Amino acid sequence: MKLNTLVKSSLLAPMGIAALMSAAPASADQEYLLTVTRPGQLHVIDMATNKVERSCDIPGKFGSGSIALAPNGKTAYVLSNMTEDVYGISIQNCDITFHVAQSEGNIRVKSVQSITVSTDGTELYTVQNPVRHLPDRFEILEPKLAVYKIADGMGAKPVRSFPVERRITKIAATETGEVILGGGDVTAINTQTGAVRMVTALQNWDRGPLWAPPDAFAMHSQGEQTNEYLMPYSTAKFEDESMNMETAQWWWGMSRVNLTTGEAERMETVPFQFIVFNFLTDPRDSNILYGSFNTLSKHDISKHETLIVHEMPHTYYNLNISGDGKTIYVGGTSSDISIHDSETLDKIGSIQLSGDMTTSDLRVATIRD
Amino acid sequence: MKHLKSLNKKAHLINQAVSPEDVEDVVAMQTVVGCTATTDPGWELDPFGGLGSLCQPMESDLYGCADACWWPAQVPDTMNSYPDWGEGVAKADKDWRKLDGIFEDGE
Repeated sequence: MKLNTLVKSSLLAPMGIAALMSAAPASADQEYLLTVTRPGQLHVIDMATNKVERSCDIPGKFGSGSIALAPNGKTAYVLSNMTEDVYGISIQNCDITFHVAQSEGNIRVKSVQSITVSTDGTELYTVQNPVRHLPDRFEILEPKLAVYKIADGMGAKPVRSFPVERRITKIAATETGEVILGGGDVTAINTQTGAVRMVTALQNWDRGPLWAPPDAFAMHSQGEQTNEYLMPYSTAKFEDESMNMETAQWWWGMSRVNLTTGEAERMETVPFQFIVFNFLTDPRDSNILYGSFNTLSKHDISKHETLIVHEMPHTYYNLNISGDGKTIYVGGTSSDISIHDSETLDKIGSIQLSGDMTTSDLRVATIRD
Repeated sequence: MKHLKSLNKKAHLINQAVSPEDVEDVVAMQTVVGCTATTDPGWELDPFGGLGSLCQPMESDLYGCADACWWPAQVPDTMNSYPDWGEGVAKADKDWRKLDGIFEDGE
């Protein structure tokens, strides 16, 4: 894809108590890296051993690999079947406990990455883009936020729905009962009333004529280690109204939403010197960002400096990080996850998967008992 | 075009490319590089006017362009029309040769 157009139960026993104990001596928390590969497998990777613990078959044709997590980390909700269906899959035994088929009759419904779960784990949200297939034409219908009760299990139907803007991609639930919607702007919708508020203006920002409109990109969700939603953008500040591209200052920026409060900070971060597909915040220091694409990079946004750039052997769309902030996992595109030391960005390992990750999320599920 | 002002580098380059004196430069690129003539999703300029920031190699980006219907002119749209295009090819970088073109009417 292009940037220019510019993510604790008895069943632990069979998973291996030994691995669990060796993984986190100071804590019983266990982290699992989750991703989806073609043709349709959800991989559960033990982050203590960096081995694939199990691979779960996902029904339906490949979707986009978008993954939303249950708050207890035990269930992964995966967008499948050409982005029309959502399956809830136990990461501990691969049981499928939840299924939504959004399309019905002659109305085909797609969700572009946009699935998330409420912070109390009771509701699943999708942004639906419906099209009615008529004999002689397609009728484009209005997009909406659909709300499902997870307790409804297999064959769940929406219990509420609210109109939303077009072009919404990744979404995330806040602890305040809203869902952050990444689209032309970053907005938030109240999941009870449908009221929408502006979080950070992007297409509608007004910073005067010297700032170019931002080019934002929201494809992957990966802020679970810092409980945030991060929307990167690029922009340029011109010297004067002649808008000379050669003398303009080119910047990376970001809108970063605190999912506890629903509040956002927007800032220019580091000079726009190379392409980054996704940025990630270090859980130990919110001034440190990591980015992935053709390079793995490390940035100090308090100093507006890029600290380290590590060349990668091929493009990786996505990345995530261990809870202690020491280990970075870089994935997406092909069939290997590259593992790096977060201090030096040196490669320290890799995980080979059975198929390409393509656009899939790379998420961390933490099981805390 | 004379009433429109390009706001980013790519648009600026497009403006340059449509000027008649630049057409010859484009026509002069007659060498087919790999399979770019038919399926390379990265056959364009990156935001810096070069090729270094395009996805590499193109096999890494192949399904990313098809599954998300991102680049439907160059790769089949697996989200809607051709969901089986990648069947049997789980790893594009290993088995890209098995990925066939789309032939209507079973030709």
